[in-house]
Amino acid sequence: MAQSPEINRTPAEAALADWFAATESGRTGEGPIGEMRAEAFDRFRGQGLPHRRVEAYKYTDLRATLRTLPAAAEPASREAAEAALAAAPVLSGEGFAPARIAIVNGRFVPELSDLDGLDGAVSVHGFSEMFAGSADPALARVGSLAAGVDDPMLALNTALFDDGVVISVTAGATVARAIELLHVVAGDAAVTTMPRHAVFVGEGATVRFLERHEATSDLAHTTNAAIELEVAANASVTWAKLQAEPLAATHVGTMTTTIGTEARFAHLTMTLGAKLARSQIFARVEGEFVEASFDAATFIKGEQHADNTLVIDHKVPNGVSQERFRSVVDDRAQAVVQGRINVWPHAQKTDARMMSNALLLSEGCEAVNKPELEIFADDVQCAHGATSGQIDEQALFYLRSRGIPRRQAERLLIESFLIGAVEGIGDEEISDALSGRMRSALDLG
Amino acid sequence: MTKMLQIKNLHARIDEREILKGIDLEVGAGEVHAIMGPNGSGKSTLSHVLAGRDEYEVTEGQVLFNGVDLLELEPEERAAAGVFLAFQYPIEVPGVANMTFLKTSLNAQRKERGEDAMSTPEFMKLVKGAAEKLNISQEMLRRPVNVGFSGGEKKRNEILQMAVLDPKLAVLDETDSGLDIDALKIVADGVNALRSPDRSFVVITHYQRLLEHIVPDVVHVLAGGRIVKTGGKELALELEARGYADFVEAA
Repeated sequence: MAQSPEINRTPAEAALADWFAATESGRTGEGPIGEMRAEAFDRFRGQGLPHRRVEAYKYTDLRATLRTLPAAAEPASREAAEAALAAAPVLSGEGFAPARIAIVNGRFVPELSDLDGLDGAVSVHGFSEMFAGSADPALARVGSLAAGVDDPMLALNTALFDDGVVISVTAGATVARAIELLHVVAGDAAVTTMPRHAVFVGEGATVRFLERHEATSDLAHTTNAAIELEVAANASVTWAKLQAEPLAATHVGTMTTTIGTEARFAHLTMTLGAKLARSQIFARVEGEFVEASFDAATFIKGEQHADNTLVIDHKVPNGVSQERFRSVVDDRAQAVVQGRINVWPHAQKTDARMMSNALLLSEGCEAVNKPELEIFADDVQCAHGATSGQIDEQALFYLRSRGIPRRQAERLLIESFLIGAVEGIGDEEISDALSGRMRSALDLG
Repeated sequence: MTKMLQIKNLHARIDEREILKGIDLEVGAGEVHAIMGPNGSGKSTLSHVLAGRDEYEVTEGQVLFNGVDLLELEPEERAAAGVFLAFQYPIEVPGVANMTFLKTSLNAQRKERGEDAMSTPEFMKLVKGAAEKLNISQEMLRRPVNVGFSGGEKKRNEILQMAVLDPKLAVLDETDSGLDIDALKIVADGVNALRSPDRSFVVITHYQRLLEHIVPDVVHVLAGGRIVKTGGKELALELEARGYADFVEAA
């Protein structure tokens, strides 16, 4: 592979090049999905870490923030992995006991996972196990759902991911037990992890996922996670992501998803952690009569920066999507919302509505809203709106006049503001568990 | 005996505009005082100043509540001291269940007063009893505060809060506005059930009809930011017959 001329490569970019050179694909272009990796790394190297002159990263300059990169994470010992998983906060919620896929240091740890009750309906395999020769046909499809999405961080993950899981949900299955993908980092040094998951939900299946990225230390980890999700026709998928990484960490998470005919998809991103976070979703509505919702609840303070980026492509007619972002920003924190709705030429009767509301709690905080609509069909309903405001004085007075002290009243109103997005997921168990986490975060606020 | 509420020469303004221009009012324990007056006379301003809304600036005068300078207290401290304002336009609080709101309010007040939190069974019993009298369903108690409530439901909910929080002084700000006859009766019955020798009411209203149900001991006419006439309950009837025109001119 020819070296392209690279000027002003940052130490982080140099480290990534070395990292790739040390992998099998980097050396030979071979190995499982080797060609795809080599191609992805070429694409990444062509652009480097995205920076503010790249439109999609205008407000989230990763090149400037990630001058250096912590070392790639090594697999954790069993004891360390156990300790890290035990240190993850317990989700409250009456009787809520999801199945657990444990991801420690970016790697699937089957022996610390709990997959009871999924037999026959859900198969879960680690990539490393598949690379070693297991013949799951799903492996051949990894990468296919991310194809067509041109994003440097996704390309970087494709080039470098070590492990993660491939999940297949059998067509027609109704999986009663929610499945959590719990990501933690073990050890006492900052590391970089790049987990990758590929999830295939078969036709007519119903399943709920809870993707968690939890802090078990205050180390400045870097995460660059990617998930490919296929929602087949008539399936119903609920996916909630909780990003609660250490306040010194950098978190980038990308989801690419395709949604089939008459499928229902509900997604929620709750952002509480990381110094710099970007959660991005690239969703493609590929079948008619899809109902999709994307909610985001963000509460950040201090010097935190949180970016929620969503690109939804309505490629076919009669799709309904709703995008709702709620951000609460305190101190000198900055919240970024970029929402883009593309309606393709034949996607008539599309109904897509996007709303972004920010609650600003301090003089020094900031909320950036960048809504974009690109509509090439003529019979559609699309709307977007954005508001930024402060806590409603009248509501605050109402609560205080009932005896609730100012601080507690403010907290209640913040919770009341965010809950609209949290409940948008439409699953009581998950929204209860996550609102519990939100409430604890507000107590510290 | 000292009066429960003593308002002396109270002046208040908002945005440089003086609205209360020297109110004098004394309310004794157990008394019900009605304050009537034309629109814009300062009725709602008075109620908000008593509850502590800080957008109004008090420029002169004094408000003593059981001998304590009320104007020195934060709204939540006034509530804990026993002042309750039933809002003309109750606020919606999405995501906070009515029941949770009641419990949070009650226990915040008890904490401020140095009392223990009320036990859940005791609280449930209290709310259930009060809700039944006001025809408030369990479903309404579970719903977020005032969200999706009709005008009448919101007003009944205010009275429920009053019943649960058990104030010493209740100020009802145009509680009758937007109520049909049936709802008015439920609300009035709720208020009457709470009348006691230790509890006083200031009932602010534009119309006399509420006072047919909540019969006042004293009626005041507020016009142009001052109390221009005080009389017995028959004054309300007189106003109903003759209107406020005389007073608007007088002020």
